[in-house]
Amino acid sequence: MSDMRYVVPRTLDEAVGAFAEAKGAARILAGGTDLLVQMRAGAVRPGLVIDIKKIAELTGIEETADGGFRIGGAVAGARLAEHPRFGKVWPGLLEAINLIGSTQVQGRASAGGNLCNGSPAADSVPAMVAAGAVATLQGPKGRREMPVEDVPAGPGRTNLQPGEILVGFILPPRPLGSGDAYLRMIPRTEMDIAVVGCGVNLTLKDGVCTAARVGLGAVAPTVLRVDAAAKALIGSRLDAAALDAAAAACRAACHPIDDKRGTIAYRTEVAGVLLKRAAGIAADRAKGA
Amino acid sequence: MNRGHNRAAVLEAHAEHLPLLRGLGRYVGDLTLPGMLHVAFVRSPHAHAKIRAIDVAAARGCPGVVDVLGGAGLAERLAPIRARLDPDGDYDYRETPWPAMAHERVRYVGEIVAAVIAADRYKAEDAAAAVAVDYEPLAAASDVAAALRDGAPEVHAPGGNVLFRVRKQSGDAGACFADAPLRLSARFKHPRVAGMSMEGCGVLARYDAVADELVFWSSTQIPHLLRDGLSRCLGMPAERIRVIAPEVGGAFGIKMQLFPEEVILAYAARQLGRPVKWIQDRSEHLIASFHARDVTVEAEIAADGEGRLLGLRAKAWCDVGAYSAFPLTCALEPHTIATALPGPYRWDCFDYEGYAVATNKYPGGAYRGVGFPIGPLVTETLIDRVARKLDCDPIEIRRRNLLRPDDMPFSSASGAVYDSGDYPALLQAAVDRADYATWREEQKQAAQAGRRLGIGVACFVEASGMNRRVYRGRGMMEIPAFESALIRVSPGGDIFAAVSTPSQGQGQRTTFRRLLSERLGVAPDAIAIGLGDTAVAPYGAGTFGSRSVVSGGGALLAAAGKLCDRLCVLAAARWAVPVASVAFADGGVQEIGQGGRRLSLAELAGLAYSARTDLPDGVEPGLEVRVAHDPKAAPFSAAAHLVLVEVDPRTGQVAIRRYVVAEDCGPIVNPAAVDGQVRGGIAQGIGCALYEDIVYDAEGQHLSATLQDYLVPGAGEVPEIDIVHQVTPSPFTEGGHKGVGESGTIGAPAAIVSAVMDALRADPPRIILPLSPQRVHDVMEGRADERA
Repeated sequence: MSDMRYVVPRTLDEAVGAFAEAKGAARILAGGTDLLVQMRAGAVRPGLVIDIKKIAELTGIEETADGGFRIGGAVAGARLAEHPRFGKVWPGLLEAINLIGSTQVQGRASAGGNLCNGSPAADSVPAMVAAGAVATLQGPKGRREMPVEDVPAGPGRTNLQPGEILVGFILPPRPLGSGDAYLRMIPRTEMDIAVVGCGVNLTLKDGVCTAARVGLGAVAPTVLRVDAAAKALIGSRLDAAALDAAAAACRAACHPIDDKRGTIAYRTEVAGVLLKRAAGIAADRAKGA
Repeated sequence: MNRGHNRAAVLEAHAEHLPLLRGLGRYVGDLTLPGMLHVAFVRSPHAHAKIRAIDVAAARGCPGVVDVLGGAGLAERLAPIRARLDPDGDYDYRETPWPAMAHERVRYVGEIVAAVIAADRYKAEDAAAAVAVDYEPLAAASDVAAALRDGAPEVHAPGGNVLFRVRKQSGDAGACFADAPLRLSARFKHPRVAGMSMEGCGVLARYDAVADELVFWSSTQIPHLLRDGLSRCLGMPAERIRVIAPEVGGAFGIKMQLFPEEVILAYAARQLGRPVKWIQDRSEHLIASFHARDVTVEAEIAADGEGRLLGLRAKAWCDVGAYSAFPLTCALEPHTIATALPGPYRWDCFDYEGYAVATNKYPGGAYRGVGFPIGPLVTETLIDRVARKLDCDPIEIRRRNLLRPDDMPFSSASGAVYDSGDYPALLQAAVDRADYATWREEQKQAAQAGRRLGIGVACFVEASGMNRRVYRGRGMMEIPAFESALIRVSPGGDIFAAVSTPSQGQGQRTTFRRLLSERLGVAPDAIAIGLGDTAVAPYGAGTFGSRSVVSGGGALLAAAGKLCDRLCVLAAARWAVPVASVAFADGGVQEIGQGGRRLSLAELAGLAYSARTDLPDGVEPGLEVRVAHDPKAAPFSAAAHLVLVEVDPRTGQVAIRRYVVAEDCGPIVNPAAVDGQVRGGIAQGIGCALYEDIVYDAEGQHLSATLQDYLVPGAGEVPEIDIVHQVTPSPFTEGGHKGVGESGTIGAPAAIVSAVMDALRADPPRIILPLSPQRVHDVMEGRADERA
């Protein structure tokens, strides 16, 4: 590691230039809560570390005129928690982001890093997927947008092109009567890797679900968007039959691994349980309860 | 917290902890010496392999490297770590000499094959990566089942993998079980766990060529035993080795074994003539520190139709890893389970077989509770089953069976002597404090709302301050089993006391100071305490097995008695009166009778040192006494735990809602320390019950090398714990004290299992800890765990 270089670009173009030039030998540093741990463990040995925290666009939180949000890819969880509006509009997503690591880690860790780390068990990703968040990417060939669920390619891998940096997230404006929630199953009360994670985002009108999105984590090589579960909820009054159908859809979507954190059968079972519970919380929030 | 104590008392109780909390403690990691070198170890990635060759040439050439140790040469100069048992004992035992550095064969992942000594740890680690080892992998015995199978890989060929076997019987189990109206059985698996001390292990070794002395700072619990162990491995006289345990940040039994690293550091310091240091990192701590428990038990209980307990029989297979550790040997776990199983009950018959089975894993050692947590886990679970079968309340069935005060002293079914205690009153105290009836009511109401609450109970005893008789009975000849204390009074009357049971953060300085201040009638501040240095403290086994107050404190009280006797002789001589007409009281000697004269401790000390004093015959000048102490018997403390849990009916997650403890450790010297021991012990018991598990795969690969994999309970997992004290002094110890250092860890797993099974109303054939959400879910679904 003795020949590692560290740069702190002030502009996105500078960062993209340096990243592209390094041809795969560079790693992006946002909070560093994954990267530094991996480097210490010897799992990665980058020749160049590009710190993106000094780039204004990557660290801003902006509520857009239409009621949506733009969040910089390097914004720390603690800063989102302090934002006067974000948690009111997206309580489930904020909870998910704030579940990354400990209080100390929250001062550094970002949703952008959580997504780019490519862990199927990343806590913020199912909630982002449920929220319908879109990632903004910038690379040598310019800027493009990609739905969050399309970013992960497998454990530890993403669909970002060489030299591409995640700039931030665009969250859509929320219709009235919307609510979201994220729940995860862990053995302890905090600080564990999710055995299953489930994000639900929905809109209710006169008690009927008019829109819904469901994200599931830790049950497949990538975080999943489960459209069949959303479909089961849409048009229903979130009655037992609809919830059962959505839970069954979640279970059907699971193809988890069997490891010491959980068996296939257990993860699959719990995915359905969390869907029902998260949908309940999201519905309460949608009703303003 | 600290109910019943005022702020001043709390501050006094924690006087020695406040500087530690402020970062003023000096641990091995804080120590620096001029010219100090650092050590990194090359460890085996294989569970079992032959070593074809070790090439250290490239490592030697790395920047900053001073020396690389490895290969056969070292084996000739260092005797292996040996752990002997009395050859005449009533058991079978195979010794497994453990080379500090492997050179022919590695027997577990993490075994040391080379050590790099360099200018700093970074350079040492980089060079360690350059050591090339050519392994020929062998099939591994990764658990007890694999090790006992026909044709199993032999960890120490030849002779099979059973290293130790013991049987304990009383009464006629065959007849008792044949006639018993009720017989119930179950299989238990307690995971492999380890104490996660905040401070890992650490060593700083310095050879003093002038004095021909090795000064050895180690985070050890056993300074004298460590010295003796090093002496044997190095072939260096023990009195040329000075072991110093500075502040130690928790130990829990792990640090009461001789580590191969310690032997290598001692060797390197002497060889190089420069100080060498090694601070264990957390991954090393998880992979290559003494693990514990890893026990499978098959047990059966016999009872009559009224719920009277008749018989208990059990077989325990303890997965002890690849070697016996010094000084306890692999007999530790199977021996102790025998003592623990009968619990606070009378059994007409008892039949136990315990095995220590060698596997290709890190060696097993002591961890808070040793064997004792297995006792109530098995016995209390089976008693709950009898109660459920007979539709009897679990408190009631225990009331019917607990030993009573008039049974004391009681010889248990496995041959231990319970000295004192009122077990039924203890259970009642817990029931009253919890308001058990309201818990049951709450449980009923919750059930109507679809929630599952469960109430668990565990009654148990804890062997403490184990004396020479206990260790003789176990054949553990490496443990001297006594403790010593010396008290020195300066010419000006200042008191210094040294005790052979050092502190790992339990607050021994405060406790010993209090004990002595109350005995002598002097202010605690007037007493200086010396611990943890073989050049300062007299000989003793060290701190483990809940022995600090009983054995170390007993030695201190005995020494205080001897000091008082000496002071009386001095005073009587001064006044020219018979010794019988003076008595020690309140910090001085008093002439008995109206208007009697008095000499203070300081005045007497002045006399003892002064050349002008005409000392009586047989009284040596100066004022220092020393006592080696072996308690008359190992006292048994006791406790009852009541716990209320909630089980998530869909995910199987267990949350502890309330926790009540009634305990009896005899007279309490330092209430804050006792409560702290109980709470900390319960936290670790919760870990064993619900979270902690060192997992090895079928190839013997260690899968729990980080704290993301090995889950210890955090603040969120440990409930507020309500503690009730009951005081029944032991007739066999100096101050009537009984040890309480392991109590919480012993009771918590049994109590939590009892509560979860009460919530589920389930008696699965296998109880497998930790009760992870998935395992609890499996029990709810009636699925047996395939990995049992």
